[in-house]
Amino acid sequence: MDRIQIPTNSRFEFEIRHSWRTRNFFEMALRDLKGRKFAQGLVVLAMALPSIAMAYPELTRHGSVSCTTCHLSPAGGGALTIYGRSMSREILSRWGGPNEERVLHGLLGRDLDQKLDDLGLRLGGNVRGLQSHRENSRVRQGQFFLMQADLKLGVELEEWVAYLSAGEVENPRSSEPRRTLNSSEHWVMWRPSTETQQWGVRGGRFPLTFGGLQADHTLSVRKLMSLGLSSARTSLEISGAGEEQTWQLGVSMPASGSPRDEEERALAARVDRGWSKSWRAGASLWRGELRDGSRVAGSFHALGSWKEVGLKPYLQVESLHLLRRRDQLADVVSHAMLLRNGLELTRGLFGILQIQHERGDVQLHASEVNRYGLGLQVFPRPHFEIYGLWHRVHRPFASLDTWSDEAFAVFHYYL
Amino acid sequence: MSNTQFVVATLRRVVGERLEAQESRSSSNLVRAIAVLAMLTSMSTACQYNDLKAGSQAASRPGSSGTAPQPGGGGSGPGPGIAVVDYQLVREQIFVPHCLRCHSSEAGGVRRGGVALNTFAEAQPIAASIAEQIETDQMPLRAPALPGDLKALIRAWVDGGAVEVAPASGVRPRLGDQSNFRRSKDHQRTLARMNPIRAVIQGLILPSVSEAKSSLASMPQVYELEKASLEFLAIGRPSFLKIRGEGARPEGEFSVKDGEIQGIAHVDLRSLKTGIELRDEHLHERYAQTDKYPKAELSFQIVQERIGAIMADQSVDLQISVPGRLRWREREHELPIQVQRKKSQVEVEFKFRLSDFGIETPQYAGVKVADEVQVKVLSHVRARKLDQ
Repeated sequence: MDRIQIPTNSRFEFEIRHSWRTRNFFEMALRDLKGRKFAQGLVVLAMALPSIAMAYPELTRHGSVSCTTCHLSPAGGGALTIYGRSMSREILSRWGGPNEERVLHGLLGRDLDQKLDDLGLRLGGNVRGLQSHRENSRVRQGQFFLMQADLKLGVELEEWVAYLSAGEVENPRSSEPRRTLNSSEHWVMWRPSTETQQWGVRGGRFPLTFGGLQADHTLSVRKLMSLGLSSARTSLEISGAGEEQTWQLGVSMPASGSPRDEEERALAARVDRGWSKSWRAGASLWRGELRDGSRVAGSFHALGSWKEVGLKPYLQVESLHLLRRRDQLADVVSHAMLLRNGLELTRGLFGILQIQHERGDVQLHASEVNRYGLGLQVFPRPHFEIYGLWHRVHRPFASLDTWSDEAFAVFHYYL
Repeated sequence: MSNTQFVVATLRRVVGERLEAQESRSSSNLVRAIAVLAMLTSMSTACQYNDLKAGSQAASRPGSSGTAPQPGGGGSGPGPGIAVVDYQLVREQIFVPHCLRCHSSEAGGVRRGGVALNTFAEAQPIAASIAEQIETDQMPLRAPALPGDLKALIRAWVDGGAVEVAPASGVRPRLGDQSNFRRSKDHQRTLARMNPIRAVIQGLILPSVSEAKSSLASMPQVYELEKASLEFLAIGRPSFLKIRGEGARPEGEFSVKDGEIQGIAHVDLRSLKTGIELRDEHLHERYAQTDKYPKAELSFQIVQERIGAIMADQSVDLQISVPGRLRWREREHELPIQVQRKKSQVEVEFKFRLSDFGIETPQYAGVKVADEVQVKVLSHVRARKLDQ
């Protein structure tokens, strides 16, 4: 029985019965065909695909068309607007006291808070930790690592927004040195409004917007596209939001001195549109080119619906298609599909049932993986989120361990 | 009153009016009832002759010259007080709602079969053919057959000479009151030759039913809102946040009489919810002040020919824009209202400005609500007939 010390700063260690990393036929095949990075991407995809468009059902149901209702960034995520912070208590959290949603739980006091608001300062930050678990007849493996720890500062002045994020992003599998206190994002945006549209022109360092129903920067999508853990690049983007639709169009390029996995030029476009009261559809395209000559192009499609009855069910269907071309290797077409069904059991508590299907290479049966998952997402109080998902995983063409269990729990605190 | 009773009462009323028109004004209700029974009995026993008699009788009504007009307008022309159907009326009541979708010469229109009915010059040469196709339900194609009164209307137009404009001496009939339409003996004889049974149906029963319908249309009727709901949509700027409110149940009714509908609905705004407790609190306490002004009143009036018959006939979809009036917070404003009826479901939609009702612009945490708010009332309607 082998014991493997998981690298980096894992807080927990499980017993590993076999060294599945070297014996798993599926993974070996993938390595041979597409290289380690791509195989890793699939593994991470399995972990994180469920978090795609997380905000879609909850927040769209409450009338949000654009991410800028609650976030400074038109692609969502990061520092919250005053309204967004307020809604974290009013919509998402199960419990919450007066001013609890404010920065540092309201410890700054109402007067200082008000002053910060008046000055247009938006403070924030995130700490995310992930506990993973994987088990089949040959392996039982788990790991806890800090995914994210950063601070964010935004300034809103009339039609201008400036944004800075600094902190740590950790890749548990990487042998690269940890990067702390680097600025993962910094940008300036001009966003004039008309009666029917809010425009935005943004320049700086940020991830290009990609996704179906909402902008999606999840690790899964980035890794599947062979991007580095941090997908922020020097980018320029124009965006728009109206009563029914949002759209973004952007280009990015590597800055001088970029790490090797960030040496990439890309073009991305996405649009989504709602119709009737409870339907929304979106599509996104990506074309990227790395300095080693490999290219990646992808499209992402999503359709969602929700009902304001009973347990407020929602349904999402998403698909991601990707073409990778690398010198001296044949084109590889991958796809992943997700059917996600959720219920708001009570405010702040969501039950999730989902089915995933993916093929790292559509021509390779062995790359097929199907997942049947149950999950729970809890927002107990403002600033806290716990998200857990358990998957029964089926690899129909694997020679060993056609069934296994995978689970993860994300603990998230935001400032 | 059961449906049967209502139909009998309506028939009695129609026939009663006819008897009155024949100088039987002093007849008692009992005599009218006997007359109805006698008429129904005679219809079932000697329908062919009754058909013609009925037609003759119609032609010899007071106000009619009693002279059969000549087809093609070559006769002596209508006498004083005789209603003449002209192209404008036919266009308005038949061609526009039922025909022009497929037979239009306008730019962007469809001209199926090479036939267009936009102008008198286009319709007049083929008037007889149009009437025949409508009467035999060949037209409108892939759509419900036209009701009897409209069939009678186009027949009256053709029989009256398919004129473009009614002579000044003629009386433009109101639709639904087809007792004034002239029906030629030739036409009825033709009908009788074609098929006696159909002749009876077209010559007697349909007009009777049609008269009953028109009578229905002219009788006051009250429709109540049933399972009504109200929702509003406001837009929060600058991110176009959609704020939807619902939960209020409007109550109201509208009455139909002759060519007029008057409607009124009251809604208790205290039950409105927007999905966020804090927002509801702000809505009710700070902006709408529903404790002080709990109810809003929406009223409207529609004046349109045949509106009663349209309301009674649920197979006809209705979509109109009418002037309405919203009363709320001790203020009153006129606004256009869109009314759409599909079967028994009615959808009323309108927009109003918060500032018109003295409501300050709602804003919260950087989100400012646009002044214009869209309101939609969805309801089924249930007829409540008045006992007469």
